[in-house]
Formats: sequence, C-alpha cells, structure tokens
Amino acid sequence: MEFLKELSVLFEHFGFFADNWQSVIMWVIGAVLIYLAIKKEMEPTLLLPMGFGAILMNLPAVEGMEGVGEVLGTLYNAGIKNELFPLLLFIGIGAMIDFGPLLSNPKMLLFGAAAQFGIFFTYFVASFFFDIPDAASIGIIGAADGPTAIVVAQQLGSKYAGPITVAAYSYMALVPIIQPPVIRLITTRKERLIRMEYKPAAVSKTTRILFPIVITVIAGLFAPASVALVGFLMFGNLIRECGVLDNLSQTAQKELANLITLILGISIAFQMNADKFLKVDTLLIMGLGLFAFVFDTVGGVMLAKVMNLFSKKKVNPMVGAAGISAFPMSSRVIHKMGLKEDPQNFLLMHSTAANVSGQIASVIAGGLILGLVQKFLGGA
Amino acid sequence: MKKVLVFGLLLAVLFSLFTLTAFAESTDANNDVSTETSVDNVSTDSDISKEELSTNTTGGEQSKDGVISFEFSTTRFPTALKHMAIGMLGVLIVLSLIALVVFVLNKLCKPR
Repeated sequence: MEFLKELSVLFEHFGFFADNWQSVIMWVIGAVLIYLAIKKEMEPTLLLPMGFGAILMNLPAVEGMEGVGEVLGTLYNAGIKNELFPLLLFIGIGAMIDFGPLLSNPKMLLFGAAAQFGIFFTYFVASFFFDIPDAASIGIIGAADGPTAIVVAQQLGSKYAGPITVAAYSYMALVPIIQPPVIRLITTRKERLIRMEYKPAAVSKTTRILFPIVITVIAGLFAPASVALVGFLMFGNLIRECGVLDNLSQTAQKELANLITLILGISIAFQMNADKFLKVDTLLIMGLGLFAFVFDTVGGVMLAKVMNLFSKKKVNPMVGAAGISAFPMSSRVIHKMGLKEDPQNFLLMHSTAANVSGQIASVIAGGLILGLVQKFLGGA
Repeated sequence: MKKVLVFGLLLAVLFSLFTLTAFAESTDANNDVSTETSVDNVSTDSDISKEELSTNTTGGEQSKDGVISFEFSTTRFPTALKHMAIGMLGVLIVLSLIALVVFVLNKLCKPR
C-alpha cells in the first residue's frame, strides 16, 4: 500500500488536465507552429522555438519551485520587455541587407512607403474595437517585421504584445500564401505580364557608406521614436558597407543574428500561456493581422497602377506588393509569380529593391505611429 | 491552390478551437454571474437594470471574467483616422525625401 502511494506521486499532475484543458489547445497551437516550421519550412527560425515554447509554457508548474515559466519570464524581461533583443537583431538584419538594387533605382522607395498602408488602415479599423495604444500595436502587425512589432507593442504598453508578436511572425511566414491570391485578385493578366528591364545604375562606395548615416539622420528628424530601430538597422548596414569591419559584419550576420533569433523565439513563448492567449480578443487580433497584410499588398500594387498612368516605362504592379517588409520572402514570391506568368520576366532585382525599401519604410512607420500615439496619450 | 486550402483549413481549425474555448468560458462566467445575482437577491428592479446596462455595452459583451474585453465604439475613430492620414502621409514624405537624397548622392558621388 505504501509502495502504491509512493507510485501515485508519478501521476499526481495528471489532474492538471481536468482544470486546464485550455493548455491542451495551446499544445495543439504549438504543434501547428512546429509543423509549419519543419514540414512547410515557414520561418523555422522563429516558428519552431515559438511552437515549442507554447508547449513548455502550458505544462504543469510546481508551486514554490522555479519552473520553465520563471526562466522564460527572466529571458522575456531581460530582452523583450526592454526591447533589447529586437534591437540587437536589427544589427544583424542591417548587416545582411544589400541596399545596392535600391540605391541604383531610388524610386522603389515609394513602393516601400505604399506597402505600409495596411498598418495605418488596420490601426483605424482596430480602433473600433480596441483602445488607441492597443489598436496601434495591432496595426503594426502590418509592418511584417517582428522586431518593429515587439518594440512598438512594448513601448505602447499593449496588453496584447504576445498575440501581436505571434501574429507578426506567423504571417511573415505565410506571405507566400497570403500575397499571391490578393495580387491575382487586383491585377489583370496583362499587368502581370509587364516586363521590366534591369539596367542598374552604378552605385559608388561613398553612396553606400553615406546612405545608412543619412537615413538615420532623416529618421531622427521626422520620426524620433524610430531612431532606435532605424539606428541599429543602419549601424548593421554601415559595418557591412564600410569595408573595414568584415569580421564584425560576418559576426553580426551569423552568430549575433542566430543567437538573438534563438533566444527571441523561445522568449516570446512566455506570452503564450493559455490564460493570456486563448481569448476571443486574440482571434480578432489574428484576423486584423491578416487584414493588415492584405492591405499592405493592396497599397503597394495600387501605387504601381497609379504610377503606370503617368509613366511611359511601365512598372509591373506585382513589384509594388514586394514593398511589404517581409524580407526576403516577399521578393522571392513576386519573382516566382512573375516567372510563372512569363518565364522570361525576371523581376527579382526590382522586387528586392522594393522589399528592402519596405524594411526602411516599416521602421519609419513604426516610429511615426509611436510618436503620434505617445503624443496623443501625453496630451490626453 | 492546395496551399491556400491547407491554410484555410488550419485557420478553420484554430477558429473552432478558439470559439469553443470562448463559449465554454463565457458559459462558466455567465453561470457565476447568475449565481451571484440570485444569491444577492436584495437588489431592486432599478439596480438590476443598471447591472444589465453595465454588462451590455454598445454591440459588445463583457462577461464577469472578461472573456471578451473589447467593445465596439466609434468614439476613437476620429483620432485613429487622423493618425492614419498623418502616418501614411508621413511615411510617403520621409521615403520621398530619402529617394531624393539618394538621387543627389548618386549624382554627386559617381563611381570611378
């Protein structure tokens, strides 16, 4: 009998499921994220840690002992709550980006701007359901940029930071599924067949070095709230382009980016506790996130169509859709769509230019939203 | 097409899970509320109607446990509309300025 009593200790946590069946749903969600990461190879660097973390966070915790929640909470407070991890990651991202195609064709910057329409439109729609800081944080899902979404949501003190981050990273991974049907819906076949010549203008090393410095100064003057994001992104780019810091550039692109991504992914899971995550609000946020991505695509395509009304050299409207900040996924999606329509139509360099401009534009948009909402809250 | 169908199916599964959860939680919460109301049965008719007003907002519901915590409201839309216009204009202006600066840089700093 004594032996059976001791043996029963092994099963004492099984009662957890009676009161916490929602945790099992979180396991399913975690499993879906892991499936998408491994089987479908969708943003595995982030979806896999998030998926596994969702399972970890929803296992029984023992009172009085430091559980996985405590550890993830420490990581979360150390790097996400204070925005440290996203900013460090931006150094790595900046070091990875080659702005050459954009610098040789600067009008692509306009597509990056237009493709942020989804952020603001979603903010507007979300304001019918959520208060201003939360609505703005939800709108920023449309930035298609995890670090920007984390920084904006944290700085605005949104209580939906967890679902917002999960939505931002999940939809970034789903860009190959979201964008093509939207693009086909709003363009004609004739428009998708427009060929674009690629004759890059030569870009000097001086321009490549001055570019990140100039961007940081301009962002600082117009959107001071974006200086941290833009600054770290451009710092990464500067160490790439200066030509004298190859070791640092390689470290930023590989070791730093990989390390931060690893810790970021699993730390985000701290917000994926069933109590915080499984609410109808979360469903609405996921829906609004999708809405933001769709309207980002619409914004970019529509600008291209408007430009074609006035320009002799026609722009393939699909290139406008690449202005979304999901780099480099979106540019590859557009290139593949172009080849599918016409195997001789190579849109990669144009879509890459639009895509990297989207990276800049999303950060500027994040800074502007932060500035506007913080001013509103300060004056309210 | 297949990918879109798979994605749609996944969304439908997630949606069902969330709806089931929300329904179950709101049923639990409503049971708690009605239990409390019947226990505190000293309220008058006017108090009951005040409680009804506070738990049913315009177009949304708020259960005692806050299962649904958003409420539909049009009071915020002028601010959001203004921010939307300024934000979008701001992004276009800043990016146009950057494009202009890059154009000037390309002219001034030609490669050798």
